[in-house]
Amino acid sequence: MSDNLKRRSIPVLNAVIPLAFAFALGAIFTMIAGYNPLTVYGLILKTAFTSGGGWMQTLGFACPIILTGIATAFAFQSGLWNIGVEGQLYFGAFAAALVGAGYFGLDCIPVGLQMPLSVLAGILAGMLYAAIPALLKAYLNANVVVTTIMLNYIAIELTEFLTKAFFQGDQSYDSTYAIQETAEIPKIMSRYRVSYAIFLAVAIVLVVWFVSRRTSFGYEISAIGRQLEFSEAVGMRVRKKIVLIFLISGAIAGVAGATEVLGVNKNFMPNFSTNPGLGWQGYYVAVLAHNNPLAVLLIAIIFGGFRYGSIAVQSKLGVPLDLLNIIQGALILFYSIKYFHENKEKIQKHLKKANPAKKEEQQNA
Amino acid sequence: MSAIIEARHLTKRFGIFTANNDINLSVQEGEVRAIIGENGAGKTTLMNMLYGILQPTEGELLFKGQPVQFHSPKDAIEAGIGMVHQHFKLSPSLTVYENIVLGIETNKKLKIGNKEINLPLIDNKRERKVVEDLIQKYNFSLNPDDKIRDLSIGARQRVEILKMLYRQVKVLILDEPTAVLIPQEVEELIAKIHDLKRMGQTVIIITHKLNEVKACADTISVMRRGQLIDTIVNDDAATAEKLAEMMVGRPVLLRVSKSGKPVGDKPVLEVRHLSAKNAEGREVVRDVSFTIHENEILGVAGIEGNGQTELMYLLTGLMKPTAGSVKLRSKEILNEWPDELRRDGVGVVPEDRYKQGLCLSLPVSNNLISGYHRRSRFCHAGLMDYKEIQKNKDEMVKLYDIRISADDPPVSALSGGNAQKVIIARELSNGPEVLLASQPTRGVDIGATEFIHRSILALRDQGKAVFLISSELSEVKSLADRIIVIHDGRIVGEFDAESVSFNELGLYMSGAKEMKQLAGEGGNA
Amino acid sequence: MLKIIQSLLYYTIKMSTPLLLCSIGGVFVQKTGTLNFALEAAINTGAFTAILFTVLSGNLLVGCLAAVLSCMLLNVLFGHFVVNLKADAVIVGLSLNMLMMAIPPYILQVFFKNRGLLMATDIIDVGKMALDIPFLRNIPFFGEVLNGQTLLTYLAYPIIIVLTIVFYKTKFGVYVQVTGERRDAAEAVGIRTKKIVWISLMISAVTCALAGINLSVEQAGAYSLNMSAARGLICLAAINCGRRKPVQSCLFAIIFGFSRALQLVLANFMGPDEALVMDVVPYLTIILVFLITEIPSARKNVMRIFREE
Repeated sequence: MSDNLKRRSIPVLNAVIPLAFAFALGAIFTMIAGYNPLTVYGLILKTAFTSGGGWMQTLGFACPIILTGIATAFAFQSGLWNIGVEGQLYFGAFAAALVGAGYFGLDCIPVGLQMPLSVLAGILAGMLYAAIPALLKAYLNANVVVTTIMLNYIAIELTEFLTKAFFQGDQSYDSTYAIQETAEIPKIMSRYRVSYAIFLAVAIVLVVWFVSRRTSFGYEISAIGRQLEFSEAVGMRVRKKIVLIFLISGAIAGVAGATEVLGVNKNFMPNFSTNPGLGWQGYYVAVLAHNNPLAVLLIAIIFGGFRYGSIAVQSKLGVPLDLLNIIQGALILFYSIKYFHENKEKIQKHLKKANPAKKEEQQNA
Repeated sequence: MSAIIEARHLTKRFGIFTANNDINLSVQEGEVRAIIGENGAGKTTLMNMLYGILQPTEGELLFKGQPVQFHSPKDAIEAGIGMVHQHFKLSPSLTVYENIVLGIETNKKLKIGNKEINLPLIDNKRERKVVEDLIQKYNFSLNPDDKIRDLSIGARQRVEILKMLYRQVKVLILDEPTAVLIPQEVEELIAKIHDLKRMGQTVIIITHKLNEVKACADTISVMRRGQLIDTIVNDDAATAEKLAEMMVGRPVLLRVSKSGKPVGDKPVLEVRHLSAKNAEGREVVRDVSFTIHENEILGVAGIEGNGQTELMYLLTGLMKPTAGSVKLRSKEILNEWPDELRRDGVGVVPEDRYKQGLCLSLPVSNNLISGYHRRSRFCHAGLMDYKEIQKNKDEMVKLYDIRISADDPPVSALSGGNAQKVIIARELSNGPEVLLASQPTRGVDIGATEFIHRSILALRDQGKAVFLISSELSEVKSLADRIIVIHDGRIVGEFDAESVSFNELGLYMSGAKEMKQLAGEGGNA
Repeated sequence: MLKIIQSLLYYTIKMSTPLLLCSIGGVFVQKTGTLNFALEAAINTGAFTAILFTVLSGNLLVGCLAAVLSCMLLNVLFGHFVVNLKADAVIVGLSLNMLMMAIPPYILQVFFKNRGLLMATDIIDVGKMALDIPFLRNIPFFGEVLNGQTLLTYLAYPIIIVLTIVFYKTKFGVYVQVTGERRDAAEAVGIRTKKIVWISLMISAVTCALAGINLSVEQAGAYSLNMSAARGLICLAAINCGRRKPVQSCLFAIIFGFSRALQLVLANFMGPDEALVMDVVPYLTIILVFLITEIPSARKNVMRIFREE
């Protein structure tokens, strides 16, 4: 019984210890800057999680992170290190902003279709941009991490260039024209950041969860993510699947970009996702969630709260928002270690190495 | 003669599991000692302790009468114990001599007057010379400048042996040295072992091949389930049957019993003029043709690396052919993808079981359906039926005698034999017309081997065709109805399995002999 | 026209310097089989601490020393997680990159009230960083190209030569190769592979620190946010394309340096908004080089199935 308890507490400990380390490191940085870490952390939590309004803001910040998190996790669980969600999100946002604002004479789109078509444009843009690393991986076996990060830089620079050179709107800052009001995704309450896109995000999480758990495609994904050569040898057509998985991941990233523009920003600004970027936050969430869709949802909401709380702390106390980035970076770093091994598995490995016959005998007994 | 190595009450535990239990072993100076036992009997654990890779939990080790403790292979080598592993530990892009001197390179020296200054640069010329002398001294056929990646398996083994001799070891441990060699190379190795013995070397051979033990050992120690059962002198009383019985703990049938059902006349798999090139553009499968009929097992004999792996890849849809055709019951199946092949009734037991046959971290139940997971039994309208998958697992576990500890553990927790049974169960239970099997019993214990052999023979008797590649010549000969020999990517001989001798096969395998007209190409080619 | 070619070549050499330095050290780590994405963090660390400690101490040498030490510290952290604790190298590398993108702006904001920039131009005279060497100046045509580079640019090439000799001709170099190729073969003859990885990490730390110093101290006299601009990852790509061999990797580093020079020179002929499009050139080059280097080997591939390696 106590043995069972021990085994169950291992994953909990493995999750809590990095959290403690990361916040301890954050506390050191807070104190260097001359603040009391307890005040800072307290204010973050209080702002984000103790009032209805706080929750509405938290969900507003969480919404794109949920989407980028699930986009990343979906690729990661197939062993594809799609760090390019950031770039896919940029193009998704850019495309949605152009269609939503009615560039290229697209303002003739009927009112009811403006919003869905803008989202669709975001999805297509995200997919197209994800197709590049997908094809490079599937047919040339190029390192996905390197290509996707490069493509992130290209996306950021290119959308900035396109905005400034061809699509500059009427604002004093660099941005496209604002989208038509009829293309907006309405907010749940006008005062708060969160829009109805949050329901779309949650729905996507549930769909991804269902697909991974229950479908034959999900079965193949889990095999591909674990052992590529095996999956190919038993006929899973890995090349096609790699492209497909990337396209789905890119599509979700495109949704993230589109909903951020249509629901929150109302136009496309170059560098709208920085420090460290919504795609990167999705990466954090996916790693911490072990690519589990439901865990992605939970952790993304917590991260959304941290973000909202930290912004409040920055404006009220003057602690730079970078503190949160330090804590998040440290969190992943400390999370990469297994502090407690589940001994059982380890012993079994030795068993296998040392003496399979002996083990069989035990099993027979 | 005195004991050069002595183990006293040596015990090794991993957690709750005892791999070696109270081993007492004494090896005399200058003798050839064989240590035999089944896979997993604890031979390798014992040797790893002698060689410093593992440290004993209890007991002590004596070298030349002195208690010693080896913390790493380096300690063991310095004391004078060297080991040649079954899987060679050589760096493929380095040359023969670089591999031999690896770890104890000689640096260039600069002479200024009487003083010698060590430069930090390696003296390749001198190293090469020393190795060349060593090759001559022991009369090994090797070129010091060849890169390891260009060498045959036999030559690599010689490099490994020289690597140890260069380090002037007194005791040479050979781990399964003949597993990958052809009969002629085995004879050569046995001769070399006799030479080394004459030069005063002590040799320990770990193996499960009884004939070779009989041919070269002075004394034989038998291990079973972590214990040293007995050590006997290699004389006429120590017959192969007796040794096998000691290894397994019960009488063993060393021969497979066939049903005697005659081979059918209807062809199942017809391969014609199949060719393929490797990445370097060299033709590795050359104009291969053969036919397998109903109720027939066709065995492929050959030295590893003569195109068997590529032939298997071609037939299982993993590699691009340059020419040829493959027909399954007159349907062209060359260029089909693995999933299409399975749909058409091709069962596959791949050579590399852990890379291509099984997904280690997936549970047994999932492994038992992979490749067939879209069949209507397990998958309705894209949704997996996990209840049915569990049911299938329970059936298979029973039917194929797969021994698992938990309810549905990951395959990584299974022994080699049971893991292989998972593949056999998966492929046979889905009703293949032809089974393509490569190395089906490599690294599998005797009990599971017997079971797998019986399963393959049963499939044949059901009117199916079996294509069998194995580096164990005795396996090919005892299972197959017909044997083709592959050398350098070509079929060089075809034989009735019953009547051909091992030596005859060996001559063809090495390329020394070749048939002009092959029977398999006749008729409808 | 001649002027354009001259300035293109001049900037190629100048822009290649940090890439070359980072690549030559990185080759050792990559060759041992350790995937080190933290090259990016190392360059950033070097660039940041060099300026920070120069400003704090008022002494450039102190700053440079601090840069080398902090890069070593960073690689010790990386090594401890990856080599000792066996954490996933990709995750550790990327986390360190993210940390090093967050820590400098935090410190700058808190202590200097400007999260994006730290100037040290009152201590470092950037103009004097470009050395005037009469012997080089007098070479016709190439004088304009070779002369007037910074100290580390001139030092980079001897460093590459020495490290290439170390790689191929010394015990350590051979051990690095064997460790990456067949770790078990190295360990079987008593080579301590962990130690080999650690030494490689330290070599890489020093060269990355130099790359950072070149960027911040020699080229700008200041640190600005995300100064490394993916150079670490570009070096990783150079090493991959160069098949983890020192000279080949350096050649690719020069190709990537050339693409940056191209960006700078061509941007001169464009309006400020249009010039922005040139910013994608260095990153696009990587993708193109991947295409060019991988297509031939993909064509040779005889396997129908997808395999990693």
